[in-house]
Amino acid sequence: MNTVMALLIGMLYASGMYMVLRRSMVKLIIGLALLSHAANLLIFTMATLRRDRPPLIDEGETALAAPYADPVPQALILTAIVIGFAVSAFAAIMIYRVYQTTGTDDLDQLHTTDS
Amino acid sequence: MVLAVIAPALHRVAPEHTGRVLALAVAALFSVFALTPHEAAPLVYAWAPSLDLHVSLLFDGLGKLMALIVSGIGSLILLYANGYLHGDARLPRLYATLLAFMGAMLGVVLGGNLLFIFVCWELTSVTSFILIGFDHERPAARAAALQALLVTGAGGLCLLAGVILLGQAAGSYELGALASAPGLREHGLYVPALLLILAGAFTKSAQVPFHFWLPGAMEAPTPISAYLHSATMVKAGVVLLARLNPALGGTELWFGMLCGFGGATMLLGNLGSLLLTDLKRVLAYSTVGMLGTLVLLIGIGTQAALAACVTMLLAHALYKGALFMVAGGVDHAVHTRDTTRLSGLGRAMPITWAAASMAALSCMGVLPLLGFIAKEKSYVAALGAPEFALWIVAASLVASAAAFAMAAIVGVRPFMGRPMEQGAHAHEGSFDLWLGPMLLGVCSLWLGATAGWPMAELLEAAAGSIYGSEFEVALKLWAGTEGVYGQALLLSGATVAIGAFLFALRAPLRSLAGGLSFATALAPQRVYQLLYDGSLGVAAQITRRVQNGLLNSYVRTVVLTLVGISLWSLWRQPHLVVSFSVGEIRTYEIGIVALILVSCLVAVRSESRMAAIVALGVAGLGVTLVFALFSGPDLAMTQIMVETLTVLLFVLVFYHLPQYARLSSSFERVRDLVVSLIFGGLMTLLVLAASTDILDAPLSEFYAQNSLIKGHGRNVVNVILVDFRALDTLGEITVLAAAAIGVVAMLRLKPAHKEGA
Amino acid sequence: MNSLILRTTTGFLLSLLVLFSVYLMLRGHNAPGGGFIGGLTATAALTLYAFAFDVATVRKMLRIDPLSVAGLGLVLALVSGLPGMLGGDAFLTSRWAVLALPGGTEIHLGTPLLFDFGVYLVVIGVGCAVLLTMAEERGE
Repeated sequence: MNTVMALLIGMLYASGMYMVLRRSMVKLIIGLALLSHAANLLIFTMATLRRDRPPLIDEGETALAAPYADPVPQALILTAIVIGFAVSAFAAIMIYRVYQTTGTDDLDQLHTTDS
Repeated sequence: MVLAVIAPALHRVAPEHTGRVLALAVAALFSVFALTPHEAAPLVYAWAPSLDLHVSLLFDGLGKLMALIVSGIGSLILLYANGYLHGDARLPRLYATLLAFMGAMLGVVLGGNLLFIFVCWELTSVTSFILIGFDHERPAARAAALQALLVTGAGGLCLLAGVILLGQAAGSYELGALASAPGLREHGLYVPALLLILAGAFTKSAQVPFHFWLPGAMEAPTPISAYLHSATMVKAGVVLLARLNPALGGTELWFGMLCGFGGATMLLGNLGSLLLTDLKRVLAYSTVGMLGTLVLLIGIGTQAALAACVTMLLAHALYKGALFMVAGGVDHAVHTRDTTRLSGLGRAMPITWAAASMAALSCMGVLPLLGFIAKEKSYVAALGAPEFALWIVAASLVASAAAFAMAAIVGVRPFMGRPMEQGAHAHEGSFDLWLGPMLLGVCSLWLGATAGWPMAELLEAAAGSIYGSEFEVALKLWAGTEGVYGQALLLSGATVAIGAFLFALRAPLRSLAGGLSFATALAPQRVYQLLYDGSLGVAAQITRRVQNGLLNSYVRTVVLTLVGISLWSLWRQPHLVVSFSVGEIRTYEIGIVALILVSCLVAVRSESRMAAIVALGVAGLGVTLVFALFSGPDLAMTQIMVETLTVLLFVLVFYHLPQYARLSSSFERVRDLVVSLIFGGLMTLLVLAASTDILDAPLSEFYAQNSLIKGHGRNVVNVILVDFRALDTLGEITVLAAAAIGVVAMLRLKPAHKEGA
Repeated sequence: MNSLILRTTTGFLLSLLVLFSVYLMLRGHNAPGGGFIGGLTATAALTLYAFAFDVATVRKMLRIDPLSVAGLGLVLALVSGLPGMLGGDAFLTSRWAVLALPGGTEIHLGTPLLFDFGVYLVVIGVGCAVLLTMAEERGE
């Protein structure tokens, strides 16, 4: 499964990067979203994939019984997902405002507005 | 003592109050300093203990002496500023920065930890930048301020590097620990550390070849020049050297560097001052010369030299502060500072005249003023120098003679002779204007006539703290004529003679030597200008080349660099294992992976925005399923909610955005595709290489064991988020809130013409 | 969107979903859930309501500005860190009190619960602020 996941993550990264390299701002945002999926899966896979061993302590126990899915990367990813949402929202709305102001969504035309 | 630290905070109340109130406040500070007995043990407050960074205040002899000078002259300057810039709207700003500067300066002179001293040191650089550029509407003032900042800033960087090296070598940044650190002078880092620290101190104290910024800094209004460039900031370098003398002094290199540069500066400054005609610039050059003398004396390092150094420090602060203020008063009265035109002001400005005379006489080193004692002491020190005594004596003689002539030009000449034309309107300045110089002048006289009472004991302690241990400083007005004292007296006589000669010859000297030595004196200035313009040019070139404004090329550069570096470091891994193992896999899992892949491709290839968004959502659902299958229920729940909201938001936003258009050429597409595939390939490789358990298992183990016991929760992920690592989560929700504020601000704040839409 | 069916069902759904989100938040310490998930659920519920009726209705229902909700959440999270600090430990060190109810059940009450509630409010505030403001943009 690891190998399959590795290929999937590579593919997600590649498509995300390709979208980021486009000139359209809309595609840029979709690319960012894909990249954040890729990153989350990357962390998740690196921490070893385990089926049906959620990091929940069973009733009556006082500690997680091994083997368990590593809770630390999960906590990381959970915050990453939510932050990812905030980033996407921020980027999307910024691009919307840029389009409203400049009338273009072509990134290459924006460099003239840089001073 | 605590007042020293809150001095910068004082400025918040400044705008409402006049300079007089502030002057009183600072004078109160002065008396607090005066009444506090000095002691050798530092007061330590931990600041960042892990970096060995403590706010330790060292109120020893030197610290007390400097604190008295800083606060005493500071209070007079505040008063003086009140008169000098009366009614100026920028006055509150001046007070505020002056006080902030004063606080920083007190930190430098009282600091007992090198890092703390450095922080305050940089603060003085920054505040002095603001002060020199006070007339920020004038380009000359801006340029001078920038120059001062760049020179002292560059020196500050050297100093930081030197301080860190020194700390590494000695194992501590505390001055007390440094002085007693064994074998510091033999340490391999001693030489580089010393050279770097000297570079810092020399730039700050305007030693050759960094002296040029100080005369330039005379663009500032007179109160500022008087304060920064007579009494305080330029002395910071000297104080630092004095502070480090017990730790670093006593080596050949120390002696050579300090005496060499100090001596050269002394000569150049004092002689240079004779060639100029602007009152303030004359004083500035003479200050440069005096700083050279102080550095030279520290370099000699004998007891006599250090005694001379502290006496000179005090004498100079008193008379140079007074002279600067007199210069300002004269400028204020007749609107010129040209020494060749000023004359006969004595009658119109009797009080200023009296103050100027006292200060000038002290500067000349005439009996019975403090300057005389200081000069005698420095001659004794020069005579007792371990090496090159003859050279040092000769240089001191020339320098003192030049100082004599300079003082005559500045402090005596303008008030004598025929009244000048503009003199008709000359009038005595207000109380604020003459009180400062008058008090300082009286101090010079008093301290000289009483042989230092009540300061003698303090000077002794100050010299002792530079030397490293206490010793006796005999402060006498008349030391007798035996031995070295006789020789010193003889030299004083010679000083007066040569000085008078130089004064008489000032005009021909100016015209004769003017052109020639000016070229040499200004050479470093030219080097500075070249370096400055050059670095600006290079920066502009680089910016044009690199910052082309195209996101695509930025991202490509970053990605390719990243790939290159990663591959290189992977290549160098000795035990790189890339394991291809399909292992156990279930059919529906393949289905999920395929789902993500397909939707991802659709999102990329689609010509319709809505299709792309939907595909993105489907990919997110796939990811959710992966989380759910592999034991991440919290992740799955979060992901699915976020995915829903993201799709919703994107629909809302894209509704307003234009349809896709084909913007890139086929070549660009292929190029980007290649870059992306390389990047994706690298990430695959990384996952494969890292699939052995690299994450810190003990950490997870800790959470697994303690979640229920300490965190009272069975859901370990949640316990980590809200208990064990709650601070991280707090940071995260703060970021969320900030993002939301940003979003709302972007949407609500429209350009004016869209209002009401 | 003017659908009678949507409107009718959403009326029920909203209270149900918000209740569910609180439940998710509270049980988060022991089972999948927590402030983030609960907050997102509540946001989704409110957004659904906004689509069924309109944004103004939701704003009126919230009574206070979504950003203020987020601010309140931040303050709560900060406050939850204080008891630990007052007790001499690091900021945000947890404090627990065990409440014994008649009938043998115990309720563990602690500062992390307050913290999680803060997270919950921040997520709702942020989500609503972004989505509602953007939805209003549509009307122009």
